[in-house]
Amino acid sequence: MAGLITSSKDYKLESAENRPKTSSVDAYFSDPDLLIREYFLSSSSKRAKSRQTIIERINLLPKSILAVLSWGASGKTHDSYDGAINLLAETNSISLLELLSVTARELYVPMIEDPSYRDFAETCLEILIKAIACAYKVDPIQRYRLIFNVIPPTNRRTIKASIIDALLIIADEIDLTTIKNAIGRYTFDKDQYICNYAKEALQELNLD
Amino acid sequence: MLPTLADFDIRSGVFIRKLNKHTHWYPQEGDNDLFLRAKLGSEKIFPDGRKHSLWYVSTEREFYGVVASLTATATPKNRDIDFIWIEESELQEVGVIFENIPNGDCLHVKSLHFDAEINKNIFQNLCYNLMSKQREAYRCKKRQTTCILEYQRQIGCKSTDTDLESCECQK
Repeated sequence: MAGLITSSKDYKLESAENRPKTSSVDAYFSDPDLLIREYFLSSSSKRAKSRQTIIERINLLPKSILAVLSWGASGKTHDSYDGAINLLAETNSISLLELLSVTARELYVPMIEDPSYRDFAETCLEILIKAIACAYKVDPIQRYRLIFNVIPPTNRRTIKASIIDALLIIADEIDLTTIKNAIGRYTFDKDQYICNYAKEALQELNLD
Repeated sequence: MLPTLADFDIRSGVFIRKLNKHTHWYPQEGDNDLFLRAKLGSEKIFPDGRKHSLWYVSTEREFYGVVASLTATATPKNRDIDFIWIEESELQEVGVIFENIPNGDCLHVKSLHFDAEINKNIFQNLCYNLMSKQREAYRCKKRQTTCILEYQRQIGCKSTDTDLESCECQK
């Protein structure tokens, strides 16, 4: 009978509060995939409270990190894009960000060449680049280097814009001239949208 | 300096739709093909199979409250916020149905949140119409967001401090 447990001395009804954690509950909290699913299905305020715990549990698990990017790119839950960025940005591990970057190079860059997968791959890379920039617990110089190392030079507009946005995010944490020079490269881009985007970014930095 | 609605070419009450990325309104393959641009844009901005958040703003104070709500759980909070604005008549024109669903911590603008839900063809038509009118994507820049959040903090907005019992910016 549910809730009735037997001991050698007596019988007692067990309340839900007194019930000890079962192995299935422990398994739930130690299963990164379930935690990630729960995270994306919860409200923004609940997500904010659980981010630190989840990122610690999925640290350096490539499958789980990719699952976060997939959830973020899927658009199937509310604010999944920002939810993925905010979760990954909570890391204090440069190793996790480096692992992410290597995985992205190997997995998503080839997918960009295939129109069937391009949209998904680009969105994952957008999330990744912004998450690196926002990872406030990691040294900004290391983040700056990673932003350029995530993917090789590309002709994709959204990736170039993501890099410019990422540089703006870290602009007040490292030498401003370095940031301006990095963005300045894009003012000569053959894509007029990116030229204008970079010029606006520089204008914004000059106002600060 | 705090931005005004006029800085974003907003002249009257409009619905704000936040963009995940400015480029989503200007997809690369859509530069010379408006129909393709609307299709790719709507797929990114209004992904199929779920409800879409809209915020109605008609004053600067409301806009500031929405910015505070949108950044409430982000780190860092002072970030660029890209968005498009849509007039109510433009939503009605293509048959978008929207429902008032209170959302966010700022009690001043909580009731200005709406959920829109309808099939993807409708949203594609909406994007096509807006793009035909040269509607731009706007950016509340990091510098502006910083000013807004500081202002909201000064007036005791719950979005900037969830421990507050009430939202002073209701006054």
